[in-house]
Amino acid sequence: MLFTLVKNNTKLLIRSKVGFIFMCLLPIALIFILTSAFSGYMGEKVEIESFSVGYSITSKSYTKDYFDVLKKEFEGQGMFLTLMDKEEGIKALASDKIVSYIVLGDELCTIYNKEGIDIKAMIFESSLQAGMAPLDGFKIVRNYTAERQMNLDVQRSFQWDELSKRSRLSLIKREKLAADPVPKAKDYYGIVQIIFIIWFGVSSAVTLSTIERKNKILARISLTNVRPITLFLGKFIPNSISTSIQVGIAIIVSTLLLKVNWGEYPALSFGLLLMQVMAVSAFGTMLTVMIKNSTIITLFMYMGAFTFGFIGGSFQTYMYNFIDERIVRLSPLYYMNRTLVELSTKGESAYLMTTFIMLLIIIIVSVSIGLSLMYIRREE
Amino acid sequence: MKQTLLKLEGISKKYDQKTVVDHISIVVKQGEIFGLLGPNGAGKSTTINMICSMTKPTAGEINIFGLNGKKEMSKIKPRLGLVPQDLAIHGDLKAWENIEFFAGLYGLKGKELKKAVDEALGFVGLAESRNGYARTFSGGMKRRLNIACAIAHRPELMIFDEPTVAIDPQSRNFILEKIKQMNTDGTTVIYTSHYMEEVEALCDRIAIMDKGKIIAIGTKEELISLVAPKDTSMSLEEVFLKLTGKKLRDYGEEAI
Repeated sequence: MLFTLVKNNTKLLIRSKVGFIFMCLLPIALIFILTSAFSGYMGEKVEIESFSVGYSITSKSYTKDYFDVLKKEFEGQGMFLTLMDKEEGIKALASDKIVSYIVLGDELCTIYNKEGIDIKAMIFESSLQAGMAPLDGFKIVRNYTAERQMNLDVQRSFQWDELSKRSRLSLIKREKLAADPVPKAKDYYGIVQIIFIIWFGVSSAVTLSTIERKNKILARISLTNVRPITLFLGKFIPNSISTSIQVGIAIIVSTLLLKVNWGEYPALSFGLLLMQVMAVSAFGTMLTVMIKNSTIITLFMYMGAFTFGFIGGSFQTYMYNFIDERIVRLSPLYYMNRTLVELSTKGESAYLMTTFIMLLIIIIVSVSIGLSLMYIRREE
Repeated sequence: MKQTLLKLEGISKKYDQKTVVDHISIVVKQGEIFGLLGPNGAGKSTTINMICSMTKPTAGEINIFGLNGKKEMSKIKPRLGLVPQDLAIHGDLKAWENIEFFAGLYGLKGKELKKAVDEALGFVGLAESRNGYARTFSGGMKRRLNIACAIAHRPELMIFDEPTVAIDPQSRNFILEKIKQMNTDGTTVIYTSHYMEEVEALCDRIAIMDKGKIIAIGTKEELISLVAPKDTSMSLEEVFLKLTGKKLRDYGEEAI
């Protein structure tokens, strides 16, 4: 009985040519489009070597006594300060010979940068702020005590050199932090678009349900002793088979053409994808049991897939991380995306077990609810 | 004495306040072709649905093959076949795939299933069109396929719910011939229709139904004698009109 149902329902799904071809071609098209659009932003490793900064300092600059110490600290971190007048400095900045130009004035320090985002200029500015913080703090204390005519011995020069030797503090510290490897656009979108499209596999369940209703098959089926679990599996398994074939074609084509990297353990990645297919099939079959209206299910599917896909990373590159992490973690696609992208780039993922459990729960809950409803309706 | 195959006792069906079937009682004997005749909205299809357990009766008892129609339906279903009024076939499956699909749901498998499919196709005259997609068939072919899907599991009791609606005369004649042949081979048949000539030609006994009630039941001769005892040449249609009235069903009417 089950074999007959599975065989013929699978035939019906595969013979629904328009839907079938759409599901094969859509992910391939999305992968190509998004890879082309974002290839320049992703997979780029930026190494910060040493760089030069121009400077001038006035004779009465509040930083004068302290500046040599600061300059030595900068050099220790690969940032070399070169004395030059303002005109020369601006020219050097324009021709990218220096990253920034600073004027250490009597009371103020002014930084000149080029327009746009320059990581080296940003590093220097942050370092300068860190370096100037103790001096600025000293200046505040000295002004405060002078205004209040307090008899504290803070009029002597700020001597960071001595202080740092005693306390072993350093003003500026540049560290190279360990970070996750950045995937290339073809790998990132080659993976997340497959995950995203699998959720449209709910449409297979809707197709079967629509066929049954349109052809008035349910009445005939009710004349048999087919059990609800057989009926449920008779839809769940064909949905899974049909979606797996569609996604499989998309994976093969995109991997062959774009050389998508599925990581060291492709079997694990594909196993998770298969589990996701089953979760979607179970969920879709449950929905068709709960809701008779195919239009509502289809709308629900598209809205759900787009919303969770967007907040879960399907449309986000690592650049556009503007959605709150707490909202992102509500998306089931987030866990799948993280797991598979990390398996691709690192060969491991801290999200693997969470993803596996999440998919298992979706399968179990969907099957349970779907079957319960079918049994209840049969009794009615 | 023929065995009772189907017994309906005081069967009723109500939807909200509307009574669609009103306390009807029918006995169908083994081996006969029993006709259920009535205008549109008489309650024929609802009666069929209750026999097949597709809808629960509001009142009354159903007994099929000596089994309780409410509690023992799982034992009854494999022995029962229904050709529904609406076509219930998959357009995107081939003829043989359709029959295999539905016969498979009755537990047939392997060689037994294949044999059942071949026999059903041959019986309805679709053996040469077995690899054609159902959606490409003519109306008559679809009706025959509809029948084939219902008979493949060789039921003892076959119910035909207006099987010849909207088909050409040749196809209709073919179907009626096949039903007779089925009955000759031992299948008991319940046949519903509002085509008088079909029922007249086919059925051993006829129940006339109107507004949810059985108005008259018996052989054609018995029904004629009810209305016009001395006029044996009266047609079934005339008997029917006498019993149910000539007014259109939209208005309803008290029967004679």
